[in-house]
Amino acid sequence: MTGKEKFVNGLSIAKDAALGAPIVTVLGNYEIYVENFKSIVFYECDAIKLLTKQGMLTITGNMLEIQHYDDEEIAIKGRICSIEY
Amino acid sequence: MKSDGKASYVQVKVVSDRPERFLNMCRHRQIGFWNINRTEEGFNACITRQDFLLIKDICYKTGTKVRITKKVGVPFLLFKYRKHYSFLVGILLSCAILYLCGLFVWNISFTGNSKYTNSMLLKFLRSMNVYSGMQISKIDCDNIESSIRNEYPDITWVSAEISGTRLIVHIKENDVAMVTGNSEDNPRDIVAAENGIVHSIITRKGTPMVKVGDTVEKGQILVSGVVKILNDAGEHVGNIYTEADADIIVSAQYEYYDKLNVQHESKIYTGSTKTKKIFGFVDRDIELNFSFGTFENYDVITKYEPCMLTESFYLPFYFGSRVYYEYNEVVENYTEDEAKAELSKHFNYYIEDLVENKVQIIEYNVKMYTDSDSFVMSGSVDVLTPVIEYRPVTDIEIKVNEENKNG
Repeated sequence: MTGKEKFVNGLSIAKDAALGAPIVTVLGNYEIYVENFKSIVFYECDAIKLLTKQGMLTITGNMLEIQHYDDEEIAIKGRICSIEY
Repeated sequence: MKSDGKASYVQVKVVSDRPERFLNMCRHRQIGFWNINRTEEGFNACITRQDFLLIKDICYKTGTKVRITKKVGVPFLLFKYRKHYSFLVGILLSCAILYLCGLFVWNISFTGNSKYTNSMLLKFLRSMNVYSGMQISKIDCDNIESSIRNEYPDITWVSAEISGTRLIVHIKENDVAMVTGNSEDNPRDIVAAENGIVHSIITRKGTPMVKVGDTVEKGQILVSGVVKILNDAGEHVGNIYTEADADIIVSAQYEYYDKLNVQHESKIYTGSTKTKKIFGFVDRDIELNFSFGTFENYDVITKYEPCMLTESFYLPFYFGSRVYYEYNEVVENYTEDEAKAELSKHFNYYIEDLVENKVQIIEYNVKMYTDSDSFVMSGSVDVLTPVIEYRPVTDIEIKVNEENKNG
């Protein structure tokens, strides 16, 4: 655990706001919402890599498509197989 | 970004070696794509018309080519048909027709009426030259309100409003007639509505002429609108004329008689029906299926579906359907059980009607017997009924009281 994480833990502050941790919401295996992402690093039909403050988030699957994205959130649809940090 | 609520957008085919970089730059400038599908060359996506105009610079920087595959939305449609003048004329004509339609009343509706049916009230409004199809500017709501109140004394409150192309008349009815105006200008007596015995009397205004237990006849004055003024010596020095006001309950006996002929005609529905579509304009309609004949004997149920743009913007035409139900007339004889059931049903309606009119049923004694060619139910119903009949104080009463005062 880094010093910053320890500090945030000690103060009981929301980690997503203090550390910029990504919030990942998964609906079954067909829809995924990621908040607090920095940029899209890689986009193919079978994999999407997103850069977050805590590192790379890789989503693999089939027929992946970006339903929408904006400053705060990206929504991905398709057949999701795995989510890796 | 989502397509929900976007007035117009374009579907684009993006050709790029680094589509991720293109998307990130767009995101940085708050340009959003949605429904992004990856292809071998790049991706297909949707983008708003306004955002599409902003991506030229990004395309140049990232070496991306964007091609429009489909345009969706009214602005594109208008641009496409900009040379079709008939299209423009049609739009202008439609707007003009809508504007003209909005100048007239196409629907008159009533709320709160139960005693007076819509058709009765519509007929009355028609006699005042207020009808479906008249100009809104010529409608005087205040006049409608006062006219309805004057015509129907037991309608105690009326409010007429114009909402879009509708004239809505809100009504409140009262069982007891409300007399407005100065009580001294309209002196009135309370008179017995039927023969009976006074069960209770509470007088608020006027001079009671009867007491509990008195037998009264129809038309007899129960509470007079003339109040005598006596001086300290008990001499009659003057009169006050007022609206008599009292709660009087009279115990009365109603005779009940109902007759049912043994032989009667009844409708036997054959089950065949014919439905005809109708089209109406203002208050006239025509049937659209001319090829159908009609039955010899039939019942008709007509349903109207008014055309409206919004709940308050009615248009002058309507559609509907008319269903004809065929039946055969058959002469049948009632059996005793059937007749008993039918007569009991009539009697129950009669009792319900009395109760609705605030008449309290004390006791009833009815019997059914068979006449030569009919079944008869007769008897009597003992009731406690409130007296709600008023009569203006007559000139004779005034004259007599004046003479008494002078004499």
